[in-house]
Amino acid sequence: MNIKDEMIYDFGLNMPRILVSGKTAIIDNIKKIVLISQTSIIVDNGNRYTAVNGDNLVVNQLGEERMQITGNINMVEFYERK
Amino acid sequence: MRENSSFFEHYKQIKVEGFDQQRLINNCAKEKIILRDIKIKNDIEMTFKIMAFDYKKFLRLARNKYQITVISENGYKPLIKKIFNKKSTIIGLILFAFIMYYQSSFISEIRINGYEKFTEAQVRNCLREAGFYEGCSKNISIDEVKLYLYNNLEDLSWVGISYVGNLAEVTIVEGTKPVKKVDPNKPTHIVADKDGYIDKIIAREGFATVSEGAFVKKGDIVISGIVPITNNNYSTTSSAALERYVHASGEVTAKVPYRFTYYQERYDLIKEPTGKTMYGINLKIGNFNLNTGKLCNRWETSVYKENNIFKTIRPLPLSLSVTKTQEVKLYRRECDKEEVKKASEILLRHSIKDKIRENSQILNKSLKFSKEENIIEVTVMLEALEQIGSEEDFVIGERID
Repeated sequence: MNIKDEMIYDFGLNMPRILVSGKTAIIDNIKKIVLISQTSIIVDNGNRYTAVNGDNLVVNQLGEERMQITGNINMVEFYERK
Repeated sequence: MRENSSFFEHYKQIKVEGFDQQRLINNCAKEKIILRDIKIKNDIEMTFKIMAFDYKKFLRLARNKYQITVISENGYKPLIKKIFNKKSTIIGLILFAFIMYYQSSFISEIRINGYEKFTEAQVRNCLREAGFYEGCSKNISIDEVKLYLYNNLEDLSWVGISYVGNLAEVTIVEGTKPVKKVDPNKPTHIVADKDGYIDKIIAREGFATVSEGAFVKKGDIVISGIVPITNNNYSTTSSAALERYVHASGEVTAKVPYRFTYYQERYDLIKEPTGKTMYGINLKIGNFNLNTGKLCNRWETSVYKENNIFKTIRPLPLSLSVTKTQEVKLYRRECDKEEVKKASEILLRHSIKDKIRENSQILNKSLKFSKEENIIEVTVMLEALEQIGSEEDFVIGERID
């Protein structure tokens, strides 16, 4: 990764950023929550939307534009803003 | 850090019922209200945790659009509040603290270290006479106890008493009897204080009465303080022997033989656990004793262990222990020569420490093993090079043979 790409990655505050590991996911740059349920969580990152689908999803912590989710994560999707 | 410490301090688990849950959560995020464990039950019901100091702000956000129910309050603050709201708990805590304090003001055990000449029972009795016994108050004057010991136990060099919790550790150092000093102006002999073969003899003052290689017994004069004067003057005809009396001094080294005999077990008893274990309790209240470990033990051979978990002396002598009984099978194994030798050498080191002087040199050592029915007799022959001369004054006119 060159310096330009790294800068875009670090300072892309309106872009989706998600880390998924086992039964935990951490979504950064959350501007708004669009949908929240046991099976699906959709958040607005500013320029795009991020959707996490699965079963028994629980938001462990929400604050400072960051959300920590636990549960059986089946799918992560990204949507373009029209 | 602040958010974690605040959740640890005080948080509320609440249930929110109403439509448009996302909007409420978004508003919380905008107002920087941190939420934890958001669980969406259905379209109109969710639960989450919120810090207590954010709760008022949250209520303002929710207004009357949502029905809010506090399910529980957690954290150390409400826990302390809960504890102190119960009077019986406070009384119990105070009582517990008082009993602990009361317990700590008594001596529950006395450990005595450093005794050699005296027996432990002698020291313990002397301490008891001084008012220092198991169960007595810690307020007793330590200086008075020490003084009593100094006055009643002879040749005591030092006494130290220290507390480790309720345990009192008494350390004593026994003194050696002072060596009787001989007046340097008085005539003296040097006598052997042990039996042995003279290895080296240097008479600085006086004259040597024995030669190197000679055997001397304890008490024999080795350097005499009576020096005969030979008259070389031809003019005198006196036949009377002249003598000069001196304070003999010199160095006498002798090879001292020692013989030690030890008895060692010929067979080693081995306890092999069968795997069967039984736990029990041993409760002692005054003279009453209930030991389930011993009552229920039906095994022929077993190993019994006890672990004390609670012991009080005042107001009631009470002790509670957990017992462990393990069934074992016994069988014996004959010890080999090396094991016996190793064990004997440990005993020999103790004997050397007790009987042979510190600056001595061990010249020869031989071990002889002889097997008896159940024991092995180990005879150790030892030869040590030692200083054996000691001063002894004498009455003028006494002659040496």
